[in-house]
Amino acid sequence: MLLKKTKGFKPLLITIVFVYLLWLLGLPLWTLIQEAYQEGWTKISQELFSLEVLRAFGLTLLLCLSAVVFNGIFGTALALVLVRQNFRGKSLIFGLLDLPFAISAVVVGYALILLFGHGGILAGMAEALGIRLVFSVPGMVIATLFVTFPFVVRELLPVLQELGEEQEQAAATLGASPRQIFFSVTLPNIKWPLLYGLSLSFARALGEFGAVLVVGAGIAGFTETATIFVFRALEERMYAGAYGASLLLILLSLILLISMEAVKKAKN
Amino acid sequence: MGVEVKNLSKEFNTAQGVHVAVKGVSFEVEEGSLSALLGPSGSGKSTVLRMIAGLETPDSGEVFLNGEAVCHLPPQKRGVGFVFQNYALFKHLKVSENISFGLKLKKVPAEEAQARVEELLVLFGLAGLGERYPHQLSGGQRQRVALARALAPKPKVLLLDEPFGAVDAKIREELRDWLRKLHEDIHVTSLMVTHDQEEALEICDKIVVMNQGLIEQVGKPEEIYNTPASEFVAHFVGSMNIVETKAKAKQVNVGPYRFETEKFDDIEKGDPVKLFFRPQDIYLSSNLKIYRSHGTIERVSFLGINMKVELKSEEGFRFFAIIPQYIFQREGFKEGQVVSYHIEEMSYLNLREGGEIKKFTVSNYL
Ligand SMILES: Nc1ncnc2c1ncn2[C@@H]1O[C@H](COP(=O)(O)OP(=O)(O)OP(=O)(O)O)[C@@H](O)[C@H]1O
Ligand SMILES: [Mg+2]
Repeated sequence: MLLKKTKGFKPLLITIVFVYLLWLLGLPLWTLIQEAYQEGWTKISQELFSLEVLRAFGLTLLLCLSAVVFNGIFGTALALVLVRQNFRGKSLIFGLLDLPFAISAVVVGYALILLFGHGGILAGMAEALGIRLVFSVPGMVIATLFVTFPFVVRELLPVLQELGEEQEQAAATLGASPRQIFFSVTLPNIKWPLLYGLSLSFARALGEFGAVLVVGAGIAGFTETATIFVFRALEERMYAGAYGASLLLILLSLILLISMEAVKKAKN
Repeated sequence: MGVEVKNLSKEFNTAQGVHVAVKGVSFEVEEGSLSALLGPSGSGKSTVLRMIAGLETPDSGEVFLNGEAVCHLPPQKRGVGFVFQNYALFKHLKVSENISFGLKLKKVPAEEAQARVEELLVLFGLAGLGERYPHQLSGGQRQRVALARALAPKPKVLLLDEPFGAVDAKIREELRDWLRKLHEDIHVTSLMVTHDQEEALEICDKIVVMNQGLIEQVGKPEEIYNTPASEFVAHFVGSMNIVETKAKAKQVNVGPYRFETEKFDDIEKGDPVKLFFRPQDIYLSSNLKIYRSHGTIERVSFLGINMKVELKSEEGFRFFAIIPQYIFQREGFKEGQVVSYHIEEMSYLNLREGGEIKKFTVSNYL
């Protein structure tokens, strides 16, 4: 109300927003493209198709997909339990849900090493199962799951709350088994928010750096993700590779963002 | 017997502690009848209905459907149709898909299911709406879809939880008549929950009145209305004047009415007594010589076909009468006017003794 009355204030505000965004997002992106251009596109594409970079992107993709699969299953299950069941300590879990947002990913990585590493409480368990969790891909998957786990749950909680149980109970009285109820009533009602939560998890896994670096130690060609590769390439002055990988990451994020906008529209 | 409920109890654990929602409830619903569970909000009606459907597990007691004990069965296996207060239609499915949901699960052949859906759409006044989604329907239409969906798989028993609770008064009345007619056509054993006594009185064969998790009375609408068994039923079903007084030496006085204790051998001197009388059992006249008792009209209000007249008797009792419009006009009643009145029928409850309400015709004991 106040803003409307003050003439000329609105255009000024919009200008400020534009300048701010340009400075924050546009300039870095522009510099990146500029630098990449100077390196020459042939060199960059060569670098991009090197085994190292392909492996790094492959690993990143693997982490993203594990985040999607695990969060899809366990995030949905957890949300259902939190909304539908009453038990002691429920509010504690609610409180812990946002923990991954608050704790630094590096700390998480370090904690996982302490847990599964030499002399850690769960080291024996991992050994018995025959998996190596520290400085290895399985450990990185766990770190990724930790940092991505709130997204699906947070998206689904309000939707499930609003959905209630009556449609499911109606299906039950009509003879639907619990499995049929889930797939023909519950899932269709939560599919868009679920998909949105999954894209958020994917996006977070795509950009994750700290946690996977600490747990995986960024061993080139083995536990090096795309973001870790960019970091190393810059350090080692392999600029062409760094710029190329950065641009590819940005492209992937953009595609993801655009499809997420579409999902968001469908959701509402 | 269509539905038989024996000694059902149910507690809920809430933040405030254990809440006993249903306390040992037993009743029967005859096969093919339309019955009502009537009671105020929170009396445990829905909980009883949900236990019959298997949506809630009783702490104790048993439910029989067509003679078979079903408490060990999940809702899927009980063969009941359930209509929810807020319809609970499948939002992502079309009307026809909603109705055929139960048929598909029963593996009814597609063609047969299609025919059944068409038949139900017509029967339920939904012809041409099969391709719509629930959000494209009016409240009354949604309610009918919910009913059609519940009835499509031909359930043994139909359970309805406040079926007309979410639609406005006019549609409510239409749906009520329509449900009664539908029931006369298909005769499926039906039990509906309602807090609307008019609805229950009008369309049901039998009424089970519940209050605070207990059954107050079971009976035909006439019985419930004419001979309420408890103060709660008297107060809850229909309009009722309730006057509290004390038995004086060997008699009870209400205005000029004097009840001799010989005639009511359960009344003794000093007993607190409540008297009940319906507003339509009061006769009024502007001629003070017609009836023995006198009172002043404090307020009149227009009810449409009838008038509501609030009176204060000479002795200070307040009550109200409902009289037909034409009598009101003929007598020319006005606020502030002193009139004579007569109460045709009364019931009384001895509060010291408790127990059932007893009825008497006043003129006998003047
Ligand atoms: N799942 C539940 N958890 C805790 N308390 C419950 C639960 N369901 C019902 N109750 C309580 O049990 C009592 C009876 O509830 P119920 O829904 O059966 O009442 P009702 O007669 O159907 O009322 P209304 O007319 O408001 O629907 C209420 O006090 C209610 O708060
Ligand atoms: Mg209820």
